[in-house]
Amino acid sequence: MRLDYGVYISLAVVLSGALAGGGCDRRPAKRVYTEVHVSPPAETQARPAFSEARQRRPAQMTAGDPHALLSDMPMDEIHAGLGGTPQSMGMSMPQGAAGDQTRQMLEASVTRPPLSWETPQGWQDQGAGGMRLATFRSADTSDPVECALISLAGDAGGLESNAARWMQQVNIVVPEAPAMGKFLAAQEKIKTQDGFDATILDLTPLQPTDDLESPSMAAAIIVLPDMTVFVKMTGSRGAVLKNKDKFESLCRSIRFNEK
Amino acid sequence: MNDFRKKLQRYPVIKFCASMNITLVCLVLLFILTLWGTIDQARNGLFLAQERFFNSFFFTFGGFIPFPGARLVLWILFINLVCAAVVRLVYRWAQSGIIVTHFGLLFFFVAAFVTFHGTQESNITLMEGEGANVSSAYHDWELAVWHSEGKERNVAAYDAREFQPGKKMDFPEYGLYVGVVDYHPNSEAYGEGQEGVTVLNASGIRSLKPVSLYKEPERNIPGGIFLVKGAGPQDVRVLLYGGEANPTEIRTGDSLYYIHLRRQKFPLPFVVRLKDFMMEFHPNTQIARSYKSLVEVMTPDGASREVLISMNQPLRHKNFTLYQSSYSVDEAGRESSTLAVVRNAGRLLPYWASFITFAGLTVHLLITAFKAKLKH
Repeated sequence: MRLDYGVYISLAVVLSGALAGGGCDRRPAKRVYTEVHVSPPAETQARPAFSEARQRRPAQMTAGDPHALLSDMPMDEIHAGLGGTPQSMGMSMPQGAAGDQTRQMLEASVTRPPLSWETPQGWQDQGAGGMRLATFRSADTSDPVECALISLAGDAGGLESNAARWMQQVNIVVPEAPAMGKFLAAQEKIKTQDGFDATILDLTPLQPTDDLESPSMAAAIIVLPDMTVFVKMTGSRGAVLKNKDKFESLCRSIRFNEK
Repeated sequence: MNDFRKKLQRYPVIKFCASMNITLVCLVLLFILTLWGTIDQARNGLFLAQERFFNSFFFTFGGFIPFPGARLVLWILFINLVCAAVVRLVYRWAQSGIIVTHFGLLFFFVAAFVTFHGTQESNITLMEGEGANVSSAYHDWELAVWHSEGKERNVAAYDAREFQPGKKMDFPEYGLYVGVVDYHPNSEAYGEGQEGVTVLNASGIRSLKPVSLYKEPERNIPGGIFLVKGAGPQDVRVLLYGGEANPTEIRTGDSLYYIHLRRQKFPLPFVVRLKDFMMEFHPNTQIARSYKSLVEVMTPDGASREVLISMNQPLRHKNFTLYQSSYSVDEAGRESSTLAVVRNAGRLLPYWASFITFAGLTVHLLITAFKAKLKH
């Protein structure tokens, strides 16, 4: 056999392969597939009790923003007030030509908030987003604090594990179990307006007293029926100390609107 | 050399295309592009650098100076090698090593072509204990409809790239017909809407505002208004927004259907379940030292195996490779792991190309050695 012919055949194969490969990314307009989903165990399901969860996209974390370090919040892309009632969001119920069926479906589809609160003076309520029922920011832009309000189903990990995680987030060495127990026992316990217990974890005493710059945190865990509410204030240690009273007033003002 | 090749050699275009100078220029350009792209990706990110330097035919720098992209350079190099194979290679048995090596190199181009057009990149995010058999696209969207919210859903989905007002989608399996009333590839959603206008939505969104597209396609969140027919005596207007986590429910009689505008899902030939996510920090810092995901891979034949995925140890299964990509921790401290999923239909082609090239070089070496021995 002449070698030339073999070469032509090989070239033809190579070029055909290239042409065939060109069609690989063409997907049909309609696809039908079976989606299997294995749910996590109930105690680890990270579904917020109310509102919607989205995955955080690390690429969008704001570089240089101290809050980016402190908060593990998912990025909020839902600009609508997901946690509001139709009325509170300025919505109007369907009228006129809209049928009853559609009206009922619309009413049923709206997520209603289980909580209400009073925004402390000097703080701005920036609304709901991602897992947050609300985000507040202090008006002091030079040394701000950010405060997030989240509700999660169940006990959401409990006091000790959350305290340990929050300490790690602000570079505080997590104490051994006995010391941690002592620290938790010493934390302030308050009652919300409708009488639910709240524990306020103030991490500022665990940091050097002359250090007002380092990231710090105060957080509250409020146990409500079938859910836990977290209120987490982050900022520099100085800003956290300065805003502690407002933080406490926010925690006290939280009310559970039982359905 | 046969007559046909002699004829081809007389064509100046083919002679020019087979020039060794073109090969050298292309190799130098590829060197520059690789170096430039690598430096640029540190500043502008991987996606933009890939698009600019490697996936383009041309790009400009300094605002107006054109520069060839890797796609153009590789096509020119491929044509150059094909022309060289036709008119410059000497087809004798003594040259068989060189010939095989040359075709090995050409096969690399085929492998690159198939990989470029046939690779599907997506990701899957799982909480500890959670499992799934679908991955999500980074920036392509679909309108999906399914019947039940159980462990297994039979999903029918339309690619959103073709959405425009008037586009109709049939879901005969569910007795539903969906028409696109309005669609925006990037939009913002608002809780306030036009008075008296009824739209169904799972999250209380009442209106959408189109916004200009971002350069980074994964930042675009589409939204649209769709008219659903067959869901009762009246047509239902549904507002769907890509940022919603939950689908909108549509009830027809006793049946409940779900409709969702979401990132395109790609089925995997296995279920992957995250058993444990492990993260280690450098001491006294929040800087991660290593991430590991212990996953269970369950195939349809009932087989199951555990695999530890870490930064440089992906999970490989048929044409699929799952890499550790990212993680997140929610407010309750529960960890989620994100795995990048790459389906590469031409996964084995580069290996074959390497093998052919290696075989060619070996043959050439042996022939040369044999000739040298004969001379002595």
